[in-house]
Amino acid sequence: MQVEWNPLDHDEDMLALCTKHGIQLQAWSPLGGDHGDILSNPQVVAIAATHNTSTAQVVLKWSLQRGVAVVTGTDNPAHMASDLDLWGFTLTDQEMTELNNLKP
Amino acid sequence: MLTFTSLWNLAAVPSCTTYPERCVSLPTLTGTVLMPVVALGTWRGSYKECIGNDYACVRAKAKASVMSWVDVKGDHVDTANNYRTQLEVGEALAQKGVKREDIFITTKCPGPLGLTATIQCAEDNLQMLGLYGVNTTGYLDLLLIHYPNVIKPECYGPSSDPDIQKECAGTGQFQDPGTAARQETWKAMELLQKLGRVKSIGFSNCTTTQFESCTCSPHRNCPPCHINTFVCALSPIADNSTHIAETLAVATVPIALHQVHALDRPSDHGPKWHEVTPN
Repeated sequence: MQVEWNPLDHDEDMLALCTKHGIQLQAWSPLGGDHGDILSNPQVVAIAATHNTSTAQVVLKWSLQRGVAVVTGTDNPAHMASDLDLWGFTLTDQEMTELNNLKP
Repeated sequence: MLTFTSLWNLAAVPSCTTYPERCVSLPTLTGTVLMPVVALGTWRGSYKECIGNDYACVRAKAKASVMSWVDVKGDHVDTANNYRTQLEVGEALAQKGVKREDIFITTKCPGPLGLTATIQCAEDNLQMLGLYGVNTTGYLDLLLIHYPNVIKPECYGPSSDPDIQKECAGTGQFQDPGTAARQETWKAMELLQKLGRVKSIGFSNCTTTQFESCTCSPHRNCPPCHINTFVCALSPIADNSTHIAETLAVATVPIALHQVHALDRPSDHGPKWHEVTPN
């Protein structure tokens, strides 16, 4: 199931339903689209600084740690490389909670 | 009774074997498919230079992007029949010399088109992606039903006709194909899987209400109730209006709605576009 999914727009009922039925959820607009400036959000910036990553990497990793695959959209090769470089860090439970509850 | 001509135990691109944590497992009617969790989308909203309906621009960007994606070792590409970028995805992969078994390709058919049209859509997608080879049709790794409703005939593609623009704005572009068409569509999806044309199937842009109405029918093997045992009787357009309206409202603001990297990645902002064809 591919739907819009990011820290500012995540339908927990949809994820629960997918989990219940063994269906993989995939996120489009995983970095937030027009839902607000997730990537400049001070909380996200702080988390990224902790892990020495970009905010985009933090936000993508949030989806992955929620069990949601991501579809990124960019024509920038540097961003593509960083979108694939998500395996050298893990968000803590506290960081995940913070991102789950992120407000615009 | 159709026999399964495409049984396999496991389908996996190499990265899924080397780095299992970078992939998820999709159980299917015919075997388990491993899917890389990071895909590159090729929808036009990703390309800021391509204003409005400049599909020549979109297609060129999609091709260049997929080539770059291969360069950085991306191995999952997401496209769709109505992204109109499948030819370029196929060309990019061919020019990069990517072996078919080394790339995971997701694409979509626009809606619950019914049995024959869904088969035809998959056939067209295979052709556009350049997957036909020697004595083979090739295959899609994942085929999704893009929207729970179908696009009205007159609302396919951009139009300069003001009446059509008006009619096709917002939810006006969709129509309910009815339960039978939805069920026939899902049958087609399962048939495609059994024939080996696609390895895994699914849908997108459903609401939870619609999803729950994709009930397991009693004659199916259910539970376990995974996506391939669903008769996808998605609910009618009324139940979808909120979601679609929301999606399309987003599309009217001057920023890409979809797969956008914001602020600290300003070059990824999408075009300022104001029309509402589905992404």
